[in-house]
Amino acid sequence: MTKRRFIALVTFLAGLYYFLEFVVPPTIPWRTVRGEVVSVSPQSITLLVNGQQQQIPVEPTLKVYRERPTGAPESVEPAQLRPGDRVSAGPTTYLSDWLTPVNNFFIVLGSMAWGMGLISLAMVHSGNIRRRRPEWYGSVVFFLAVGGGIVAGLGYGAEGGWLKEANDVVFNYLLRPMSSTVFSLLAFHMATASYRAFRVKSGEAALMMTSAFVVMLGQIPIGLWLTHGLPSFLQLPVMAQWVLYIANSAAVRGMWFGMMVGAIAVGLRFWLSLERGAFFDREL
Amino acid sequence: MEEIAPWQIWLAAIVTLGIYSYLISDNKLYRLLLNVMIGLGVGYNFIIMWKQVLQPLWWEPMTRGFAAVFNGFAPGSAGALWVLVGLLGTLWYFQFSRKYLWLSRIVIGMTLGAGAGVVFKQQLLMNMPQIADSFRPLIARADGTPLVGGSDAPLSLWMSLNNIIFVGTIVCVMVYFFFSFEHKWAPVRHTARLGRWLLMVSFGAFFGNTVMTRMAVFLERLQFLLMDWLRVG
Amino acid sequence: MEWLARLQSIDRRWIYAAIWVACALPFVVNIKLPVYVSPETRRLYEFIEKCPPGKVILVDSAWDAGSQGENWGQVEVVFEHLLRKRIPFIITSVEITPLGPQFADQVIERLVREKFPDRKYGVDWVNLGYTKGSWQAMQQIAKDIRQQYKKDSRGYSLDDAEHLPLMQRVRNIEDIYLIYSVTYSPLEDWIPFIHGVYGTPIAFGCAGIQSTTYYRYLLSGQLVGMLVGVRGAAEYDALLHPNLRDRNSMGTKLIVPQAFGHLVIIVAVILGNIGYFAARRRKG
Repeated sequence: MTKRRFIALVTFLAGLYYFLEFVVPPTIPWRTVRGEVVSVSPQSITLLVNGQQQQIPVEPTLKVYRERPTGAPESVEPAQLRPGDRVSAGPTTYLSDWLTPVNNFFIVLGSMAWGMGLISLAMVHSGNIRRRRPEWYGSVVFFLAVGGGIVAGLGYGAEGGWLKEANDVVFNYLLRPMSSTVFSLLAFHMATASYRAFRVKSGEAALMMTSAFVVMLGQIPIGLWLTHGLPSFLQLPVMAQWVLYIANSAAVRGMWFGMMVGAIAVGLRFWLSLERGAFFDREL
Repeated sequence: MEEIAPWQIWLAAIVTLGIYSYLISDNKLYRLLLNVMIGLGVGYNFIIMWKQVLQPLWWEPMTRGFAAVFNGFAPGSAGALWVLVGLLGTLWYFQFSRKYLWLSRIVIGMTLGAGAGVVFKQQLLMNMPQIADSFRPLIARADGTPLVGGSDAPLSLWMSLNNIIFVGTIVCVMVYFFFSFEHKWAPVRHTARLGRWLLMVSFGAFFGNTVMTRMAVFLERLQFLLMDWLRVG
Repeated sequence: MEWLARLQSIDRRWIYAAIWVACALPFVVNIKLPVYVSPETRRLYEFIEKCPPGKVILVDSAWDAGSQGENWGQVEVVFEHLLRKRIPFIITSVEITPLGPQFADQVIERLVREKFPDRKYGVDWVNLGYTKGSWQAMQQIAKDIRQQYKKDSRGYSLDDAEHLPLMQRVRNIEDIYLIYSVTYSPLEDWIPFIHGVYGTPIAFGCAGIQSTTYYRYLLSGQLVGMLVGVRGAAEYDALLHPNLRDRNSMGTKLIVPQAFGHLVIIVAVILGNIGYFAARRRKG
């Protein structure tokens, strides 16, 4: 129970920073001054606020945000300010200042898991070899390939030499053709699956098929070639655009609004460790 | 880039055809090549990840930090604290231990927590413009502005019709999802039913685009085999 | 009716063969057809045309062999546009695949060799390599690009003015005109964390299948443009080269075979349905 509570606590604290960073303004609101820069000196910034000049002393806790044309504020040092800039200045709430180190911490922490995939694959394949399972030699080849991949990876970015050549061969003539061929097998599976399963058994299926054909034909030159003599709204590319921009986008929006509510709910459950399920219920 | 040697093209063609042999039937060569591919990919990614992420962002600041510490706590000594993140990072690997599995939950929890904490910012900033854009005038002018308070553009039947369909689809689809259980009240039932029909149009677009994507990967391979290897066309 | 009913049980290998033959045909005969330029492609092209001097474009080239059929063409045409107009650009691959930057190198090397031999690495473009961290990395890039990248993919420090003069004028999001993210499924986090916070325009180059969910962002202005699958690349090539004979990008090479592939799938689905209805009628 103590372990579980401890894990819930670190989960909550990790999320708390990002939550507060979003909801808490970067400067203390009631001590923040908005105005136009009149002059800047190492000791103070003079702002024009509602027609009156106001001096703001430059202190270590002062944060200055310059307004950008897009409306989003940019954090700047006082020395970078120019007369005429629209700024807001006030004492920092520290949260936004910590964004960079906190982000760095999480990026590095997440990256530390980089060996997990290799280790779990190595465990499976070494088991195959030890127990002489069928096609165990494939597992030996796997380990050789890992070695080859590491050597080739070392050659990336090299200006010349045998490492670069190894990188070139492995990347261009093994890894690239093999991965893309494996993915391209899906084209064939999809073709047979749609041949076998895409049947007009109902009105809904007919509507789906019509939309699919319009989208498929409307996005290829043959669609344009077949219908280029027709009025614009009957041309297949125009119809495909209508399906994608209007009918499809609206339906996707409807679905994704539901997902937004779901994502926030799931986020809250994770954050507060309320989530239950196979992973979360396991005894620790 | 140097001229490509013929043996390199042949190597790529052989592994490509070796994997395509699966289309005739599953076979040993295909499975062997799959192991080669996964092995190369994992090894390659492993080293790139080290060289381009962990080395510059973790290892180098840490070693510089230690160098500063041994130099009488010179400026930059704080970098040595990265060693703590390294220790924390090792907790991931307790996933492989039954006894100390809970230790890995600490880092998983932290990562999940950070993701959960940012979800409010992420979802609101992503979806607020979407919501705002969904309130469209049902009687619209040619430039999309409403009849009342809009521009001087003439009224557009096409724009209005599109907007009615757009807003109607969003409402119907949301009703379909939110009232996914059997509903007695006829208006909700009919709206949800209409929502299902409208979803089919979208699913059709999904299907059409899926065909497009799957075909493209194959075409790139075919292009290689025909133009680079066999040199036809 | 007997033979019609048999249309629903054609051996899958015949369908595979039909795909091979139909798609190979346009390569052998070398057919080029005009394409319909969709608004999302045109908007991206026009937006890049308006890039002011002094700004750079960040290309998140996070794709690998699994989607090179579509993504190769999508970066190729945009790189050509940027090199032609001498708009400097920075390449990276955020989170998705460590292989992304090397694929981008391949595309650029070919373009430079064949069309722009006077363009120089470090001046016209820089490849910062792979980085991890998704939304955290995006926030870092926006605040201070040097927090996320210490060196480029060739190992030069970002502060090395001799090798990377371009990087000496890039500090943070202020210097970036557009972020163009190309991969199978670009990270949607670019939208809230960069466009939502800083207003910097975002464009996607994505697989056709994923584009279906991204049209809604074009409507709300959160995406400034998008290249969809092979057709997006072919359309962009058409904008770059109004004369059909000048087009030779990957997108243009693949779009006609793509059309033939679509036709095979459509015919297969229709045949499957004819067979299905014939069999149903026979059974009564």
